[in-house]
Amino acid sequence: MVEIGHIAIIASFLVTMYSTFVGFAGGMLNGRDLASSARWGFYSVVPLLLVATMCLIYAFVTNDFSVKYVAENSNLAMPKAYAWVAFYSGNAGSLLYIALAFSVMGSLAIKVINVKLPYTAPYALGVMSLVLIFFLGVIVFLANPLDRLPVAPEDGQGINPLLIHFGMFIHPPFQMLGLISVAIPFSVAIGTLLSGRGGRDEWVDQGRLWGMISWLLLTAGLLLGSWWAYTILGWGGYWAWDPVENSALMPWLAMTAFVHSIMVQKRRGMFRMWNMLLIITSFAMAQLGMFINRGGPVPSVHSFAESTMGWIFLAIMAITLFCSLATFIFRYDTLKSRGTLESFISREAAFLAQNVLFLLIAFVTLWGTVFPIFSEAVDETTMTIGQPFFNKVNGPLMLLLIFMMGVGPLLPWRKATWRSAIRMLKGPLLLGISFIVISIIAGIREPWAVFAFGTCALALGGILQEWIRGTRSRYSRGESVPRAFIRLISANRPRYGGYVVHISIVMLGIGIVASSFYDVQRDVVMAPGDVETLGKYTFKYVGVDKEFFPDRVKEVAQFEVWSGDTYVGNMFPNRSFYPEFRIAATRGAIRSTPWEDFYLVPSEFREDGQAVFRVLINPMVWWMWASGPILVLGTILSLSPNRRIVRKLSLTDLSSGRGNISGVYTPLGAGD
Amino acid sequence: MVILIGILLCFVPGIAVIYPLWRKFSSMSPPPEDESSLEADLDRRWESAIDGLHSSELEYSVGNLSLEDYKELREVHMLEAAVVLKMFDLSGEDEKLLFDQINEELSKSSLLSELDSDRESNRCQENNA
Repeated sequence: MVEIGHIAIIASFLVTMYSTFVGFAGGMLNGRDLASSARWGFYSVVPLLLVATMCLIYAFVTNDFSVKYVAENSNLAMPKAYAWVAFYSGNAGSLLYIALAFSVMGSLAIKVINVKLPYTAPYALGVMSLVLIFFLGVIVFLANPLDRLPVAPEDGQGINPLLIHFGMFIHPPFQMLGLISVAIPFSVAIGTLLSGRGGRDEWVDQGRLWGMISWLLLTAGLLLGSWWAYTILGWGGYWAWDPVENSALMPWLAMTAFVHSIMVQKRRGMFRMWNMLLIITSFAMAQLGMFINRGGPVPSVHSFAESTMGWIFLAIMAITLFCSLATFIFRYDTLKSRGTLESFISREAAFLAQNVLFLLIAFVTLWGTVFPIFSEAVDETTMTIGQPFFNKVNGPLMLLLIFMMGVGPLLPWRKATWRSAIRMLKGPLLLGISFIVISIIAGIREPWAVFAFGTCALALGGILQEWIRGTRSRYSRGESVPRAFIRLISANRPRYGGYVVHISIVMLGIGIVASSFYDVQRDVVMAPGDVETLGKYTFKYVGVDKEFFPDRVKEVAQFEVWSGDTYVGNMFPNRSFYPEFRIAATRGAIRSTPWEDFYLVPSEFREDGQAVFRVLINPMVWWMWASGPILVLGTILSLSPNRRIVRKLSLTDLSSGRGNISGVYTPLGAGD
Repeated sequence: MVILIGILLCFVPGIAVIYPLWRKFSSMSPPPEDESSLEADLDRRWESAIDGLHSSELEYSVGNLSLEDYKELREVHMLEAAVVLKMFDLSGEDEKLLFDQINEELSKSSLLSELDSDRESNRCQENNA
């Protein structure tokens, strides 16, 4: 079975090389058969990598410890369901997963791009194949997960205990897919430049589509990662500005800037160079993320796969960046904007300001992340930059971003007068100020928190104002309120989908602000029967149960918890010690409500029966996790094409002499 | 057995890459429309102008735009649409018919007339007060 996987990997490497050369040749020679052959070659990588993946998973399921990767990442005690997690828990397996995921996503992209951009597609395919060649090359020559050991051990080393968690089934796949998926809009952009196009915004629709998909995957990866950290790492937080976290955040920031900025190019033919640079930056940051993930020199508490391979990723990142910028400079002349910025009171100006903010945050994060490398190079001491730096610098920038998120969508394209701008911002501004006053009255004294709640209210107010006014406008035409609301959204899906995403970001912002400024934490030493209080919560430590498993000893504490006078039930935080790894994995017990989370986590169980617990009250964290599904819904809504409000006038038909346009134009609102 | 399966596996990409070259079905079909052609570009610009019209109409109907701003933006987008049409060298009669249709539908869709009359009456009331 393993040998079949080997053959499949080598075959996929060879056919990807073929697709690269023949794809570029097809583009340059305008050879449609060549391009078609290259495309089908790329498609055929999917079944080959699927076979290789199945072989590896089969080796995990059958405990084939003669396979080095299986012996290193599983053991007899590992639940069989975790074969999937074990598959990408190590370096080599994760590379195979990335290659498989990218080949699937790339095939889908190429299928669509070949129809929409037939003359750019061969070049985009060539770029995608180059990206895939790199991963497959690393697998074939440096880190093959199907390599065998000379002598098979009787049992494996086991999977990292921290990965035995439901979240691991979804967080790493999303995170890795998110990072590599940036290569798709990047390939479309570079393919456009290589084909000598770009001056007519050909790639914009496809760039936006795949950029949004990539952004969604990155966002899902980040949220799931935070949720995993919150529930399993047992420190009561969800974000620590750790290098690995930052490495996922940076491309997300650049991609967020890109998905907004590309709208300006679509609408106005502006920001052509800027968008190219943004997507190049995004991909470079995604590559940097993979470098840091794979044993880069930056210390991280949870780099999931340590190796020296990071340097190869860094070298490839440098080469990609150099080649992309060289292509950009070479095609610079074709990227002159069609439109100009007519006014600073316009949506495109707001997008530009917001883009600058996103990039500022990304580069501050980058500087904070790579600073240890520079400090080591200069005076041979590794200095790390901690949470306070990031919070201090990025916090205000993020608040400004939320402010722009509230203001930007209310401004019209092209220009508006001050009078219009003031009128449309009046409502949201009033709401924001009201919230600031209410927050102060409610006893919130932290200036940043007060300002942050006010800004979130402003952003929310802008969206609600637009929904209310839009619904009222349709209602005045005789539609019922629910019908008017649904039709308003369905007739303008990209716009209102974006608003739904903005609502989820506001929810996220509220959760982050509340939990950052108003969390309460206490470490307590308790013996069975002891009662303690924190805030309005009273909790009684009942005792601990010890459970023995082949790979771990699990201690489950039992608590009875009251909120005020109300008994809310039992809570069971636990701690498992894995002697093989000398690692203890803690699981907090969390009572989550929209208002606050009551969080209990065991730190230590002592021989004398006493135990140390960390107890936290984290306000409004619930809103962060609730924002995830809303964000996905909003993105899907935003991506779903508008029902044709105005059917595209076939100008080509008109110019080719059909002449009579009667019936070609479909009335506005006809699709409603 | 492994060798046999291996050979069969290699057939998959082999057939995938050779078949299009052998049958030449791509080159036999008519060439696809060039996404960078002037026509495709004008199509995009046309769509963008119509989107702009629709967007300003929506902005106006939700109260984000004053009447003056709305009229100005509408003119800008109409001008852009007109430039696109000029580049297509349509007959004057076709252009006129097209713009009449757009105007008619825009005003229907945005209830421009109703909103205008509402606002005018509000202004009159304010002035009287």
